[in-house]
Amino acid sequence: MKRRIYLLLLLASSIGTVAHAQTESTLYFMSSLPQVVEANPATMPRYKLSIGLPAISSMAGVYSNNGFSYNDLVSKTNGVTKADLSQWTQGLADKNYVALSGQADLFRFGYRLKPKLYLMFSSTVKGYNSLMIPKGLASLVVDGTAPLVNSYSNTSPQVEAISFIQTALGASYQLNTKLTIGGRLKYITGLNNVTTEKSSLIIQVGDAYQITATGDARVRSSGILTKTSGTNGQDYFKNSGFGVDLGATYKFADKLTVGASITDLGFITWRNDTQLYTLDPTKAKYTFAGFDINKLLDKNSGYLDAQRDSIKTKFEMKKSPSGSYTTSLPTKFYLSGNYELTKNLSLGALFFGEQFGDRFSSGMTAAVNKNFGKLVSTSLTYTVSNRSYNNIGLGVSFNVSPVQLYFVGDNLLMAPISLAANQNLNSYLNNTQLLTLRAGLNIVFGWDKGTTKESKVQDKSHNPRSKTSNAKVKTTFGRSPTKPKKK
Amino acid sequence: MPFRLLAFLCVLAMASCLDTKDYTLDSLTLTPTIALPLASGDISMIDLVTSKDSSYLKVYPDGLLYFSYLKTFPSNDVHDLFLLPNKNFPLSFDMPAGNLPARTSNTTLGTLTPLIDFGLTPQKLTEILLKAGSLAYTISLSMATTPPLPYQVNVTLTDIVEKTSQVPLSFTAGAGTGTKSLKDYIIRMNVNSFALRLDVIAKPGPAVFIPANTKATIKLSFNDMDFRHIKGFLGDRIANLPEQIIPITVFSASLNKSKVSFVQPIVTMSVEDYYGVPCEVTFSKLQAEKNGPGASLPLQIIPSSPFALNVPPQLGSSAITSLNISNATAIVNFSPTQLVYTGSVRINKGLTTGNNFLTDSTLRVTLNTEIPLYGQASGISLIDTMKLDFGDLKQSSVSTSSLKVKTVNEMPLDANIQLYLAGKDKVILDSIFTSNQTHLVKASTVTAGGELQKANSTDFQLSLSTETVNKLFSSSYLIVKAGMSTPKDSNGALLNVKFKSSYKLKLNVGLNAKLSITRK
Repeated sequence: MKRRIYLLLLLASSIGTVAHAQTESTLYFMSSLPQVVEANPATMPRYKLSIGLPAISSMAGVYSNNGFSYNDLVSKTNGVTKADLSQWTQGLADKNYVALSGQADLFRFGYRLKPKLYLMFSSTVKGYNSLMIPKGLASLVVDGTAPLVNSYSNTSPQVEAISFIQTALGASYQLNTKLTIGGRLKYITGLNNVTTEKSSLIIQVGDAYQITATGDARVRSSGILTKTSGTNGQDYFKNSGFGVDLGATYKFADKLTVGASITDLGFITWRNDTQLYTLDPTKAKYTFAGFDINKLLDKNSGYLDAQRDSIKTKFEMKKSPSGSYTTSLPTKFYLSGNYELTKNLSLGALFFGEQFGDRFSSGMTAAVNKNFGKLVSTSLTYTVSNRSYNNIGLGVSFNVSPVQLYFVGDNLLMAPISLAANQNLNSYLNNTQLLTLRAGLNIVFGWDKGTTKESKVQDKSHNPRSKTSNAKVKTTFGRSPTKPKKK
Repeated sequence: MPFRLLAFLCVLAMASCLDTKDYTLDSLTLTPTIALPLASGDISMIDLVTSKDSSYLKVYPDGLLYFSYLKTFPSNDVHDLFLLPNKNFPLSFDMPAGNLPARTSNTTLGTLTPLIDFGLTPQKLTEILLKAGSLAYTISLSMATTPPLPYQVNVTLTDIVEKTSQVPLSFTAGAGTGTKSLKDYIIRMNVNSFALRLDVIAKPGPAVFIPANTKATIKLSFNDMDFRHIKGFLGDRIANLPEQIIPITVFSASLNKSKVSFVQPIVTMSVEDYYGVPCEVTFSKLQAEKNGPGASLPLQIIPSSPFALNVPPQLGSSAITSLNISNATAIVNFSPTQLVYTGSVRINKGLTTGNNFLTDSTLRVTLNTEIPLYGQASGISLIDTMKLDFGDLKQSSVSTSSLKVKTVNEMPLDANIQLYLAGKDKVILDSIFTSNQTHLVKASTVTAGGELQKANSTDFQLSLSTETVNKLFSSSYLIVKAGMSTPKDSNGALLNVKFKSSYKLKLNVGLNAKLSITRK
């Protein structure tokens, strides 16, 4: 046991240094929302029937930056706003990912067909954009070339971008009193893509300050030209793929439930307007050892122009039509635990990760979940992600059936504090490296109170349909306990 | 579209809760330390000499560099003594007066065999091979006949033969003018004279009355003749050789004002003679001059002037007369800027007869000066001026700076380099290095024979003071001055060293500067 605790602590201590995910972790604990299936398809939402209408049902955005916040760049002293960039680079990670993603429900439908079976259908448009800024690039600009003497640095940024529409059909099914499984099959239509298969721009500074740059790149794109030239939108439908979400929850004991899921496991084959951009490392190499003394002595006036042209030629990316290519979806992994303290109050923990391109990112969230009757469901979370540790998240849904209004985010709590203290959001945003926000309005019917014992009612937010052999347990499944008929 | 809407809404919502003053920067500060290569390259001797000298720099098979000043001065002065003048020869034939009966065939009216004398003196030519020239003729009757007489003149130049076929030049012409080319014809002469034959012929026709004193006039003109060779006795003649100058640029450019001593210089002179005639050459002036005739040193030649030229044995060959310069080392170490000669050529001195030939070739006087870069030198100075332009960079931006200098020198040459800062008028304001910092390039070590023994490497950092940097920014020009000399031995005496084509000075100069850039 001690060993397990030690491993857990080791994992927790290391997670903050590598975490730079674009994952919404608080959403995982918002079982009142039909959108909770986006995190774990085995989780049955609390409402028997839910409908999401286009645009208003769910809009989500994620900003993450594992390298720096605005305050790392800018400071304000005595009313003077200064940017001292030399301070900035010291705190950067080797690879700094600035990611922006968003998604919106086009349509969503969920229905508990049977007490053990929940069906779901949704169509969602998603977009993920990630720009990797290497510390080497920032340091080269800010700190200069002197730190690289007799050393080298990779200064090449990397871009990943993918947008697609997923149409998902899935179900959640309770196998037995302990285990519930869920899954969704997805048909994917790709919209745009930029994939950096490899990219490097090594800057090397020699003993006599000679600067050598060596480039190597292979970038694919799809739909970028079509998008700008405005050609037939039907072409986007050439990009197709499939995906799957899988999840399970397991009830270890009456109060302890664990869950695991993997979502957006799939691929897109890009066929529309595919382009390949390459930089040949055997050609993209140039050493500047200073102005050639012989040329200077000869007063060769065309020397500098020739050098400039040479660099341009060597480092110009070659563009060529690419055949079809396949990329994987930004796949997410979740591992959760939920401990029910009291009725309507539980504690949760979540480890999550995301594989986007060749990057695996992870994070960790601790949550306190509280239902105030069926009217208000809340989740208060603390997330360590993106090398930031000040992310207190909040999820609130107001369940006034048939309308459910909600918002949920991983770093929201500081916003009202900042607003109250400073009458603006500046201090909140300036410290933010992670910001997720999902909000919307669902049409919902049939609140499931969860398993109800005759003696007491328990809230089992992650597995509301806990059917045991105990004869005293009375199931309600989306309806109110049977009331005695009025005579 | 949904993303854009979402982003727009988010930005709108955020913006309404933001104090945008926080996002207006009052200042942006960067403090990079740049390590920047300024200049690099492999410098060889050919890079150090001026462009004026570089074309004279050559390489011996063993790699030793040398300056070669080789020039041949062709002289036409002897040839031009024998230029052939245009010559006119009017000839006339008395036509038989009275009635000339009708003729059914050509009838010879008479024949002339005059002797043509070119009247050349003092030469007595026996043969001229022409490479250009023409014979023009005009034929007419002095009085009209009744009816007009049809006639022709047969001209036969038996002493003028085509050079290959040996066929005499002959032609037939009626009244009027004409021209015949004399190119590639040989005129065989007896003391400048040759014979020809003219036959005046009446062509078939009716009877004609020829008035008394009627003459047939034949005018022959030898024009524009130029010979490939002439033979005979050319006489005792003198041709003056005009002043010729061969510049030795290295002493006026790359080694200007330097003190040099070369171990194995070579100065040679030769005269190539294509003329089969005894020649005597007299140099009235043959000397090395430094920056004009004011400072000169005569070349001592063996054989001394005047001297007889070797004569080619037959036509078409040549004979070379070589002259040794006995004081070649002194001449080169005199650091001349030019070699000068002037004089004369006398042929057939004191002779009255002889069998000479003279071709259209020139007399060729060749002066060759080779200065192997084997020796010692001091006080070699190179100066270059560069315009400074720091763009937007301000002097206050540079907090500390230093120059990194790295050299690997295979050349036996020490260099003290100073960078001078100058204003717009190029007047020097200050220098970059202190006096003990200027010895930037150290000479390689050499063997007793002056060959490269070991390259000398240096690698050091020169700090630049804030004052220097400030002056650098206020300057308009950077003047680079390098003072170079060959290395010295332990006693302080200059060593004799060799400069070979493979010897390089590998040089890297870089700037290390800590900048503090603030933008407001």
